[in-house]
Amino acid sequence: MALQAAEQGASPAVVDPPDPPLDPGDTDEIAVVACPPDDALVDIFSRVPIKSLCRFKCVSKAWCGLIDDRLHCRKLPQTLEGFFYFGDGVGEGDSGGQGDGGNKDGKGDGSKNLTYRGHGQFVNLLGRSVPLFDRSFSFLLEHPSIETIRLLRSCNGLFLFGHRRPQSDRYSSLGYIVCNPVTEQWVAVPSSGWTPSPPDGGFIPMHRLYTYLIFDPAVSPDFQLVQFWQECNFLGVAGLHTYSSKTGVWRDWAAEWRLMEKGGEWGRWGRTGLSMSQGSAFVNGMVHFVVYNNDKHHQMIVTVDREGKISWIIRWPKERGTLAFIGGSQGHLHCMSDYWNDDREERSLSIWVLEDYDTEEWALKHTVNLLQVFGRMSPSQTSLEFDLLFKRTSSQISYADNVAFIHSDYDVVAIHPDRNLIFFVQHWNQKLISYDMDSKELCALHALGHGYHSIVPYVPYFAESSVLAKNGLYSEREAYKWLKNGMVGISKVKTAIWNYFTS
Amino acid sequence: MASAGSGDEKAAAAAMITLISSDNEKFEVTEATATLSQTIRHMIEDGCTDGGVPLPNVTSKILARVIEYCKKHATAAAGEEGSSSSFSDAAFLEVDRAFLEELEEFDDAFLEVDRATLFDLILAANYLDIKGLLNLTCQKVADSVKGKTPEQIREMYNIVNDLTPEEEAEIRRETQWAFE
Repeated sequence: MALQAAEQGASPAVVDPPDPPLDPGDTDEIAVVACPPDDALVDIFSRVPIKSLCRFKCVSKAWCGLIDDRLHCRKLPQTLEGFFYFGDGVGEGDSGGQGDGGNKDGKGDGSKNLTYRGHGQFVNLLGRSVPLFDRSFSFLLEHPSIETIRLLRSCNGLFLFGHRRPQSDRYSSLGYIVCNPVTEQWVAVPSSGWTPSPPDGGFIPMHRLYTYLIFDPAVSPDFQLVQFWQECNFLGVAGLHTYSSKTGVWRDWAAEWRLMEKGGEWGRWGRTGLSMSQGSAFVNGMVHFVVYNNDKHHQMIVTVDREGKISWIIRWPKERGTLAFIGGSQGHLHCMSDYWNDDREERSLSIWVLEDYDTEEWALKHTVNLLQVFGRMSPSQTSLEFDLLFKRTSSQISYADNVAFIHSDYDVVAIHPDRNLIFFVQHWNQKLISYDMDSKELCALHALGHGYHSIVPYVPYFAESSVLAKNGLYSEREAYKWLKNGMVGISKVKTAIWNYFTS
Repeated sequence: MASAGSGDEKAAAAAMITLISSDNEKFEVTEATATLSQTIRHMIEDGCTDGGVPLPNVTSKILARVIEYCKKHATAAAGEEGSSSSFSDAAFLEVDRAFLEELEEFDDAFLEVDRATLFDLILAANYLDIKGLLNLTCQKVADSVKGKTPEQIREMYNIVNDLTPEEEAEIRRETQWAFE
């Protein structure tokens, strides 16, 4: 330890701190201060915010080593480490976040793969020299029960993969894999039973599944999945399933859903479409989505808790521009709106923070002229391509208008969970850039390459989890439950048990 | 679970444990007080407490404070058990609330110590494995350091910066946002 006891009153290094005294101890500078053991120091570190922890790395070699130590990491707060994405394919056009049941023309060669094509890549923001995890996910792919997996989302250190058969599938027919890449623990979640229909001869499938992962180790060791069923022809959310690692079963909310017709909870949501391109935010224990109300023609933010209940429906005022992205940062929901000012003929991005759910009070945090961010910007909000696409497949022009404007130039891919930092991808050169709201600085981080997709932010979670297992073995409890519910065949459970004992 | 060696008549009094500090001062405490420490609990369970428990890592000054904490919190635990059987629910809740408030006040006053003592208490709580005391003291330190700059921390705890200017510059570059 670099903590050194000062000699009684002799050390010139011992001076009164410039700040007002912190505690009564400040008057007792000359006392010999013993160094707390590493365990206690880690305990203290685990109780300070991530920002303080980062500063403490500058105190001494010992403190820096302790904070960076992999063994201690599981107890310490973590922040955004980087982005994981798949690239090197010929544009799947998935950047905005299509449903699980995308219409992609898979060219699977029958071999096991992470996705149809492309390799896992990691954009490291913190400059850690040692890779945090095996980017090939061989610990998953080498397992006999795993077929093809496709990265869908991340949440507080866990990845959600869709699990499908190598060639034939266009959706996660085999269910899902939830894994922690650092601990290499994972668990298979069976399919909810929904099977999206194949595309009706056109480009857009008739149905889509959108599945979200909820995981907050500070609240519960369990994870939840929230799955929406969206019908594309009438552009409405038509169903909801939820899964909890605690119960190990999917729950169908069809009964509650029917109340929609009678103006029940879901009815308040109305005839609406989920707009996935604006992302989703997990903050304050709820998943926040952007939905577009086709009857009233406005955007709303709907929050769903881990039990699948709608907790808030917040209207987004049109005057603030169109929602481009929502995300969670520093414990608050942040919404970014793309706004065209006719008078000044400039397009800007505004960042709003939801201060109060009850009163729907928003605070404007920052505004930036998009021309300054990107150095170029198309003058119109409407992208002809998208407009044509939606006109061809749907008469819902209002919806088309709503979604069409974005993604012509850029995507917002994330907001930093602890900093005032936004991450964009520029469409014309596929570059990941960051914009700092405080310093107004831009930083080019990485060239993603043509056809990048499934880019997800990654905050590591180092602790072993009781609900994920090494080798994905279903727990005894779960295996029994699945058997009982007819969700898996006995052979699958047997395979899992066999794999466990032979690996 | 007194050791086999002690006589029958001693068994009633065996609820007392002798703790011996590093400077050889002896402290008689009840078993209920002593077993707030997991370390001592295990020693009692193993029957190794005859002739007192030597605690070479803890000075008499700190041990006296630790015992003060344990006594209060052991009474709290016992008080809760006792009252639950003899009061109605409402009365029990009232007593409970008052008791918790009192305990909180005690904890606050207990932490009014200089920094050296606080660190010594952490060391003792860590060594004796007293969860409540470790939580309390670590939280106190965490609250006092969280807004501080590295320079202030070094001054507070007499830490010598052994990072080379290059190393420090590198760390600062990586964590620049934390300094804004």
